[in-house]
Amino acid sequence: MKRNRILVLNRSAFGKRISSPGIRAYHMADVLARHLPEAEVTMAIPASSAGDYSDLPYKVVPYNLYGSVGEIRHHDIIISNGFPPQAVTMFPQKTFILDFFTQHYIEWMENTKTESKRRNAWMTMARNYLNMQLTFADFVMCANERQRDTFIGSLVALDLINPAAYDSDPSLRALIDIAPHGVRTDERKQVKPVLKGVYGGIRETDKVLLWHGGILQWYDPPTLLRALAKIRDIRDDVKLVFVGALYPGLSTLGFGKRFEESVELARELGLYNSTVFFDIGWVPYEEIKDYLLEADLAVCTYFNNMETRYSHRTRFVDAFWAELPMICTRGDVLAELIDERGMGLVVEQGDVDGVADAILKLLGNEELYQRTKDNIRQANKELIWDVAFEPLVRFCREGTSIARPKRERIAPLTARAARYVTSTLLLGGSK
Amino acid sequence: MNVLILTRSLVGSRMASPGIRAYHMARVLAERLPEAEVTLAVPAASDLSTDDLAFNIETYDSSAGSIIRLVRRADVVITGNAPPYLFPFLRSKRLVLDLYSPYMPEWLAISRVIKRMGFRKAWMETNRRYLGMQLAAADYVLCANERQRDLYVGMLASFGLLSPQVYDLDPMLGHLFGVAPYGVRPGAPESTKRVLKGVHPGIGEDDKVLIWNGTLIEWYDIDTLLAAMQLLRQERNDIKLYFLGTEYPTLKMKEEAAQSLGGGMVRRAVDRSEELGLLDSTVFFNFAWCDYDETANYLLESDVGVCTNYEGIESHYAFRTRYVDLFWAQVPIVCTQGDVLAELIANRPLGIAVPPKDPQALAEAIRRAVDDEQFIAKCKENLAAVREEYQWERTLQPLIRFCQRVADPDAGRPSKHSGALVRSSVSYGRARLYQALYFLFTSYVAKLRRRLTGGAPPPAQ
Repeated sequence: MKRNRILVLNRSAFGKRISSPGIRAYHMADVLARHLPEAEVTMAIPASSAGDYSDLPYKVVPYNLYGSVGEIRHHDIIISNGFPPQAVTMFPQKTFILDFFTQHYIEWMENTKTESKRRNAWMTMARNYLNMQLTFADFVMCANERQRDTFIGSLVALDLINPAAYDSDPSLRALIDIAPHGVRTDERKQVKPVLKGVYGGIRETDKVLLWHGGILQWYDPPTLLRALAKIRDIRDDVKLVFVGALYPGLSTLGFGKRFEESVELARELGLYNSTVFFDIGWVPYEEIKDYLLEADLAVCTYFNNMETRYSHRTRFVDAFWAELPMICTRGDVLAELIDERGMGLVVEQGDVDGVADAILKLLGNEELYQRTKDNIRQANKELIWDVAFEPLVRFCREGTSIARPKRERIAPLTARAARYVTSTLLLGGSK
Repeated sequence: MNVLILTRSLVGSRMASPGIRAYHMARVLAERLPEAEVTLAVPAASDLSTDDLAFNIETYDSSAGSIIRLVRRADVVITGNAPPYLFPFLRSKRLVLDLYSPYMPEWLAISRVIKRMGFRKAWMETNRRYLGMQLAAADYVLCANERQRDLYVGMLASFGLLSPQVYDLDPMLGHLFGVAPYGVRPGAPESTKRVLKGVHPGIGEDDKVLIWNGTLIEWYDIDTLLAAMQLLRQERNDIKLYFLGTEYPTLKMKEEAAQSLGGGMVRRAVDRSEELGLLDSTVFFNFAWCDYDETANYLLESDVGVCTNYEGIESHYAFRTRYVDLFWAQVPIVCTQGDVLAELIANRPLGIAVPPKDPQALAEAIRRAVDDEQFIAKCKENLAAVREEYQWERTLQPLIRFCQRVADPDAGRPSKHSGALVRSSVSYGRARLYQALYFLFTSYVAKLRRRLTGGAPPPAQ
């Protein structure tokens, strides 16, 4: 099968207001273009993100609902975190690589908590989506081993593991493998100061904690806020900035709730706009670098539940790039990494005192702080995008799919795609 | 409240791990649920003494009726395998599915002995649907480690069995899953007589004994182990390898099945040892099953427990129950990397975990495990601590809590997945039918071919 025309089908915001999936797609196309010079790499982006991307080493084309099939027709390998149902028509001729970097089902479970009436409908759609995408895939990528274990379970349930696959590769890595989010390789250079002495309320001598990313359903800012209230009794120069906490373009599943709660609590504790600052609005990918380079610590607190267990948070990798020591809750793979390699401090869920102690410890002990930065620098070497996407490059270059033969999958795929479309229509909304 | 533990395995002096687990489950539940009546149902007359047992022992025969009779009395049924004819009777009961042995990866490995791909696929399909059916019927699922739980989370999500209602009861899915590893025998092991050093021909008093304290199944890598033994033999004469318990004590099995589940492996191991000139001088086989109570004697005389396997899906999800006996007897372990317990062994440390298929690394690890006194002492200390963590009373905590929740009249109760159960049963029925028809069809075609060509019958599958 001719395989040198590769399409990265990116369904998320790209360009100025690039989202995490968009960033991943961006780096994916970049790595592929560099490591496979004989291949023709194209990125398809949503029409709303159209712009001038002529400086990129790959072609960028906008697509819409109907146009996507046309794009697929012109390529041999299609990579996406979600193939549109109409792509089923191209299923027999092309190679499909599924980039499932989150445990969608569990995430949806968390997201739909606020939707009491239609939750079952949402989850049915989520399940049908999961099943359809896995059936589509000739090769699956995900972000960490735990996600991989759940997807293997799904593949078993969906009858997608061929005994012959096991013979050729008993580890099944030729069917499903890991490609974690990578650390950027951009130079760590501050373009301009954005926080100390610039941001209203933050003095040049202050220490800044950065929460860079949305406040979504599964995060737990209150624990952090209460910790800051405690710290304020001890020192008055520790400030917290929420950057990109709420921005337009997030889908409407009640994401605002957690954010509102947090603002409310900040006011109650008397921290609002004196110790804690909420920066509303989107900060472009390029600009966030300045925040990361200027801050003293990155913080992220959440609940230790199933969603956390399978998560792989991009904000963590951003902090790694900036060699920014991290304080986070225990429970996910990256927290384990941080703990094991001394790249920061890990605290228990809801442990206000623990968070406060961790912050004071890292800010108060220069030797520990530097050592932490060194550890991050060391670890980064293995975490860059080029290393992360090795399995993908290998597969594109020379891999043969050990998924069930396409002729055996076409019937279940059509059925599952139909079920997905039906459940989406029944839900009455778009995904 | 009536709790029934239904096991397919023999319980008595000749117990294999499923039977041992069932026995201890009954014991611990009877102790921790004083108001409940606990019954352990076993297939053949158990030769276990029934004095001083806080639970009942009932036997059942091969008829469906005898099992149904037991299930009808129960409120909670705990089993590793619930046959479909029980489903109508389980509607008002809670079914706990004990999947401490992860079937799916094991089937993938075992199915390799089925040479015909058509049969193999049909067999896998049937088994997979059977598992789907079991999961649809289950109210609670036990597994041996968190990795297995992740596997089942994915399975349940795709089967449509992971509902928001269940998730809301506990976002860690504690109302659906319990991680309940295999436990350590209570008490400390005691030696009743010498069995190896200076007693067994070929094993000297001062020799170092490596013990393989379990069965030999397809996914174990004997070749690498024997290659390592050969390397060691070239430099020293005092390290001996003992295979304990090479016959699997189950009910009467068909010849082919016995062949596949270890029978062929034993033969291969013996042949290979002979080839390498190690048999009965460096490598020894015990061909009789070792009684449950006798194992202690062997373990206490061993210096290292050894287990090597191939890397793959099976080892990824495995929980090797034999390690637990080694924890109990504080025997340091040398094993292949890949599973959760191997990680534990490497990290505490309780021994050494080596890369797969590497006889050099394995030989090196064995040397350290028998010569490095300080290391051995540290491992033994850590083993004592792990032994505490793996007491049955602790590993079965999730199950105990589940039963307590059932007994609590105020506790909420997620509804049964009747729709999914019917669907999965139909799916299973179809797969069985297909498998049977496929078999009939291919044997008919083979017969026809023979008649037409006048050739010899095809070899047995």
